[in-house]
Amino acid sequence: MFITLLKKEILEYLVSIRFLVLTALCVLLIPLSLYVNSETYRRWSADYNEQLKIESAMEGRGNRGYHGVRPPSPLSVFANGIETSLPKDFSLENQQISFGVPRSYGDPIYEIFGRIDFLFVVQAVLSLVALLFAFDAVSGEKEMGTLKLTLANPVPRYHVLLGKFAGGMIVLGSPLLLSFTLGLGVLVVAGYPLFQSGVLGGVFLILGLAVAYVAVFFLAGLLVSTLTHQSKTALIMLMFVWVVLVLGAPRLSIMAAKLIRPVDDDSVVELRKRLLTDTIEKEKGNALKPLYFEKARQKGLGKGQLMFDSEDPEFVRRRFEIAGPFEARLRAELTRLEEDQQRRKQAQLNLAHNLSRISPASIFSYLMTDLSDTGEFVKVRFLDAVRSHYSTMDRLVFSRSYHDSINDGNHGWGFGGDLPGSGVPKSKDLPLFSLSFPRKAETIAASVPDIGLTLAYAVLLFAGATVAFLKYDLR
Amino acid sequence: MISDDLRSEATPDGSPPSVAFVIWTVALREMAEQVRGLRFLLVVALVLALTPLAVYVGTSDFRSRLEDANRLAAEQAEMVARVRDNGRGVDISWTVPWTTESELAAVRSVRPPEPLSVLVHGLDGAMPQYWDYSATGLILGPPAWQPQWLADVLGQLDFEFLIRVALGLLAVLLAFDAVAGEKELGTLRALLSQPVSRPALLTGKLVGGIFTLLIPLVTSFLLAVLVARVFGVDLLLAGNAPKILLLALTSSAYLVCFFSLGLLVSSIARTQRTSMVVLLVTWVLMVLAIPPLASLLGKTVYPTTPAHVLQKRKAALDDDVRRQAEQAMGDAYREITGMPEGWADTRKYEANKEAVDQRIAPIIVDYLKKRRQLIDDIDREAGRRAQRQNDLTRTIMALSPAAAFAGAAADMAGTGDAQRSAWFNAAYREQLNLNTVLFDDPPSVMINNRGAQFRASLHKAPSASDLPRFAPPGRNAAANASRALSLLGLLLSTTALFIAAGFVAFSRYDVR
Repeated sequence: MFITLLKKEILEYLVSIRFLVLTALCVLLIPLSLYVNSETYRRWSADYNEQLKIESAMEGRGNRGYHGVRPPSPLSVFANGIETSLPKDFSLENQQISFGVPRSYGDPIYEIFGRIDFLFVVQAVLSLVALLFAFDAVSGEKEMGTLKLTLANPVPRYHVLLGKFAGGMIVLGSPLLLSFTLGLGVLVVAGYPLFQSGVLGGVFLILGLAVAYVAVFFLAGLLVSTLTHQSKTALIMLMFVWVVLVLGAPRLSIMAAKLIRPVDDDSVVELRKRLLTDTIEKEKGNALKPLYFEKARQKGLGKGQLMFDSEDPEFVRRRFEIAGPFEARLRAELTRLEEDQQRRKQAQLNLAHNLSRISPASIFSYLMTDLSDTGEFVKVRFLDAVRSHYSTMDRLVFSRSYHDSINDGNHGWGFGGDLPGSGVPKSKDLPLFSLSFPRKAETIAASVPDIGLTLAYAVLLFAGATVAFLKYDLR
Repeated sequence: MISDDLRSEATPDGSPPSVAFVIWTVALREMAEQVRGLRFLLVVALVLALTPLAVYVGTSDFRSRLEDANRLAAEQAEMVARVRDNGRGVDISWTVPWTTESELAAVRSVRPPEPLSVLVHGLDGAMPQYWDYSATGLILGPPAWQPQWLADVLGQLDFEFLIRVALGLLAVLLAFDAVAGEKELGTLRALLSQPVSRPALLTGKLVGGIFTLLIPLVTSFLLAVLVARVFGVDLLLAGNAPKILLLALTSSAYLVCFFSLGLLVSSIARTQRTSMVVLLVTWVLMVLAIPPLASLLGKTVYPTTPAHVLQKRKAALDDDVRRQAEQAMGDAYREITGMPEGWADTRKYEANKEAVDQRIAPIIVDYLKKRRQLIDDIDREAGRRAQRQNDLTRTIMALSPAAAFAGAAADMAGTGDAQRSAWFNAAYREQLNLNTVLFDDPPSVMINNRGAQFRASLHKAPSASDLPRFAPPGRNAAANASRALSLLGLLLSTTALFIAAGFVAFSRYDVR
């Protein structure tokens, strides 16, 4: 009986205009978006390589290790994620990490409309199509009266619902699978490194998640369809739900998080840091002034002349005794400011994340971007890598150099260089920045809660639909 | 029933009702029915609830960007004062290994944010906060807006997005069963048996739908202006009122466009279900898929190199040429002053200034020519590619009324592509002006005698006040609107096409 039901559902869907539209959409959008994004990835890789080349040409001039470039993720072809908004490079100075611009910078249209990738096609377009498949699955049969006929047969009610779900998913899934395979073929022809390690496994996971996500929306459609008596009402309610879940909730969560946990702008914090640096540097300069003037008298320098006497170990030692505490304080205060800001930002972000998890669409975004190495997981990894590179450079270079500025009201003097005898490594011995993408197992482990949540949504929706269907009064 | 209304009014002297009367009656009926409907209430509630939020976020973003811009401007004034005080003038024409941050900042052009970005965020946050000028061309400052990582994964929400997506969807939802629904119910038959012309009937439905759509549109605009005012940004100041009016007009044209598309599909389709499936899929394609696809396709067909990579490329190429020139000048210096290799002494140069200057003048001229050529080549190629890419993208985007609307709205609010190119052109003009006074006539050069470098001052550097002043692009409503008019025209002609096709389809409908 179940097989008969399933066959009937599949046949019904196959002859409807919806199936045609779905197939056309999938075949048009998926291979096209994959191809276009693979070209974008290729351009990003070319830019990345060019930048590496330029950096290494500049290295000969003694600033090896002062810059770093972030490689693009090959899987960004499926979900662009933060690939376009995370800084693509950074440079280091004493007490300062300055991040470069994101990859999308200077691209006007993207800023208004966003991007189109596999994630988007599934998240927005296919979820809508899934609702269009489901909205009249039950309510339509109620209206036409065929439901009465079906239920007059000796068949458990949940079999009917299961048949609708299975039939719908088979019909929804096959064009998706077909066009995804087609898209992968296009990628291979376009020279995309599909068989590189870590890529193919990610691709299968991405496809599996896409099917699960579509199933969630199909089930939501089934639930509303069982609850309503008219397919038009079901449709209007579903459209509303779709707008709220897919377009509203994710964006709203950011706004709500901003309202609940406001965070200072980065530029304000940057300004605060600069003020702090200026103040402490000035104090340090004032404290060092007598030492420098004494040195000038000792050396018999002319009026208005000061020097850093690197030949005199006593001078170097006394300078360090005076300047050391100031430098340590500056370092500690700056770190505190920076960590404070990062903590607040992370708290806001976590709040936004959790608020947005009310919608399967945002959960899907997080899962897809994390699996594509373009999500929160990789962002944190990159920022950590930059900070640890800075502390290496700080240990090897910045903490072994001196920067003094002396001011006596009319004149200012600046001194800077490597502290004598501190053993600053030669330029070629300095480490280069590198970032590796996480192993797939790590990513999956980090995504388990979100995967679980998606499945929980599916189970809950199916249970809800079953209950509603069982309670449906035929008369 | 509409047919009852029409009959009761039409019968007193037996003549058929006037066309205007039919249109009016049908329109009123449609409005009354739609306004009470579930879809209208749901979507309008959604839009009215989200408007204050979107506007609040818009105002707080705008104000923080305004603060940033003011601070940058104040810093720049301080830099200019510092450069004036040190009496050396602005001397950034020769790229030197150490940074001259303050001198660079003295010729900086800072861009203030646009107040209407509160409603239409557009490119306002993504455009550079300032432009710097260098010997190797424009340097883009960072984007005015700190990139928001989560927003990039989940998307932005501004007032324009609400109109484009939520009200656009409402337009489609109101229209999908307007004709097809009456076909299925059979009321269309009853209606057409009355002495009512088909065009008048369809016009009535169109007018009714437009008025229904105008209710949430006007309300949300008023609400948006009010909310912005409450949060401290008065949008009606400084000649913005006509821009907002234009924005509202464009928005209504956009909604009418989708509504008439809905009527067209509804007239063609036999059942409401078909009509709705076709309409929703078209809506998703037009609103969400085509615009970004257009931009990506444009980039795939005519790829361009990002500006910052170009900057680096120019700097790297210039570096090679400049080093050669510095060494050639070092050779000349050594020859004239008799200094040994690897020694540099500014006093020796000062003593022989005339002779050395005469010898190095052609070297400098030659270097400047090479540099100009190399930069021009890169700029010209990049400009040509960007132009072609932009043309292609815009052509594909013309397929979608939503894209045309978003483009027109951003242009009218002064946050669109028109304003972007106006700023870039202004910055480019300033660069050309600075080229003549500063960069192509360097006040000082570096001379490299086999590893020993010193800076030779050729003549006095211009003071910061002597440099040409940056002229920011105007922001009057007329100039912005003229760029947006072509897009608005496109929108209107698409609408006219849909309406005409709708009339044809409806007149061909076979009642049997």
